[in-house]
Amino acid sequence: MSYYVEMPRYGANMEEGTVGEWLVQDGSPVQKGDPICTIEIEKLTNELLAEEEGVLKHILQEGDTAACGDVIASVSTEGEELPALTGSHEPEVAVTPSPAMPAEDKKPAAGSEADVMNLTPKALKLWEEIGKPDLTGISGTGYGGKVTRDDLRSCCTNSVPSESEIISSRIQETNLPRPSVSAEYRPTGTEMVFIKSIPMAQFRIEDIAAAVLSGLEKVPSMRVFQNTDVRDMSKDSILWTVVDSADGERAFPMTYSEVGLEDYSLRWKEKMDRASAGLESSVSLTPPGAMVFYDASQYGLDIFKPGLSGFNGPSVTVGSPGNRINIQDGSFSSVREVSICLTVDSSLVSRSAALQFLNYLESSFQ
Amino acid sequence: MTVRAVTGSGIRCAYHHSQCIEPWLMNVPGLVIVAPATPYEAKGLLTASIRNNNPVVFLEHKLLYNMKGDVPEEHYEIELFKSHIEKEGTDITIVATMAMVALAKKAVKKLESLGISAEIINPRTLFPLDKETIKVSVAKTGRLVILQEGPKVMGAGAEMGAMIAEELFEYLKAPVKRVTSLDVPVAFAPVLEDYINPSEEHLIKACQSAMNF
Repeated sequence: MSYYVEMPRYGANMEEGTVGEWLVQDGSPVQKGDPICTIEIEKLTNELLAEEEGVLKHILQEGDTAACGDVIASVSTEGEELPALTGSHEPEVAVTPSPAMPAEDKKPAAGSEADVMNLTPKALKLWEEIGKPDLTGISGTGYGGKVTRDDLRSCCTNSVPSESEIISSRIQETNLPRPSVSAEYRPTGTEMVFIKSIPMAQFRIEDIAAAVLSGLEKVPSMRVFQNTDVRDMSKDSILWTVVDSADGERAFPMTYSEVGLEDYSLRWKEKMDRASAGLESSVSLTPPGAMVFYDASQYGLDIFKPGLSGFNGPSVTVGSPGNRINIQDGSFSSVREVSICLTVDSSLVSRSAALQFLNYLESSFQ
Repeated sequence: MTVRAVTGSGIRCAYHHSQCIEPWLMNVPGLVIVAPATPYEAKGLLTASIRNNNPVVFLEHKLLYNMKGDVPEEHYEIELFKSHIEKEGTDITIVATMAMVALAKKAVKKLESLGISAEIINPRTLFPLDKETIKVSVAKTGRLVILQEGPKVMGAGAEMGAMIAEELFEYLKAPVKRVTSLDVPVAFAPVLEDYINPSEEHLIKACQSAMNF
């Protein structure tokens, strides 16, 4: 069977070899397995054997160097024509452009907004999230002068949410109502919420108020409560606000006096059912008998405006010790403990200070 | 002291003489691991290694003993702890070591025909690694493909990939890709040995996948 004799590849690194000596004369017959010629690579010399029987025809001369895979001779048998040689026999790596990357769209990077403005990919995402503010004059501090997320934050402090705000907004999307003195848990990025239940032998509202006020003074970093005011939630405050997504943007705040205690558990149950069925987008409840200690100098009474859910300022909410709502079935039960919900800004009050404050309350109640 | 040691597969020497030992050594704090890729680097880096006061392991890839290249006759040194940018590019950074540098350079033309402009970095010193050159390049291109001979698990590429994920996450447009040998003992049969080791095709596919991410 006719074939072209190619320069063999003896090792993965071998690029080329040299025909040393023809061991069979041009035009002479060879048998399968006969040595045809010697191949020299560096200091090695190998014999090249015939793979088939036929007549050998030299193509290269002794001393010629050829790349691996290039034809150096032919062995032909009668009646079998070899195809004409067409240049190099170097095998090509088959590469087909994938359909996902059409020729004119090969470089998604070049010319894209991120490259024009030299934003890192993450900074670009953030820039789009915050409404693409104007970036003229901003200088990137990243590698290659790239504008990083930190650069964006420092230049557009008003519009760029902090990482914790982004995280908390994402938590909020999946937030479930949870049992606490203030049924609403609405983190706003740096907000820290501590919920603690302290057993109490005898409940006197004056004792609690005194303990909280002295605790706020005792723990130094709780000074964010500069002008502490107390609000008794059982009187005329907003008991809940409902934003009913099924009925559009209808909000109906109700006060405690309008509802009455018996109604409360039924309403609670109904609202939880609706919330779990996805009918209500927001559930906000404050239990009867709760007291809220807040910083009046910063937030004033605005925090109790109808429709405003949750407190954004520092606050200590002390729940009713006589009644507790079972979040599962909405029933009340009588317990001898006080629930405290402390809400502070983590950038102003450290976690250890908050715990110190709660521990102080615990020790003064016992 | 400088210890010269051979490493790498590809010369049909089966399991016992085909190990890639650089990750073993990289895990010994205090050792400097030098890995030349060309004859020019071999001479310059060896001189620098001998003159360096640290214990240096000078890795010589078996396949590279046959490599031809221009080498100055006079004495010269190549700075240790400094990566070399073999070729500049804009779309993707390829970090390749030792014998893989030539493979990466060979793939450049194919990549260009696909519209991918690759930047090729040869670390030259594997440990301590010149992170800065790699980081500047990846920050520019946003994509990294590490081309490394030897098993994927815990290889030198694993360390580089982790470093980039740790320190340069913000700049990445695509996940870091590693093109390595298979996690198997090196085979004796030439066909199998070639199958186990990374190829130009593997590299091009990894680059395409990073570009299309």
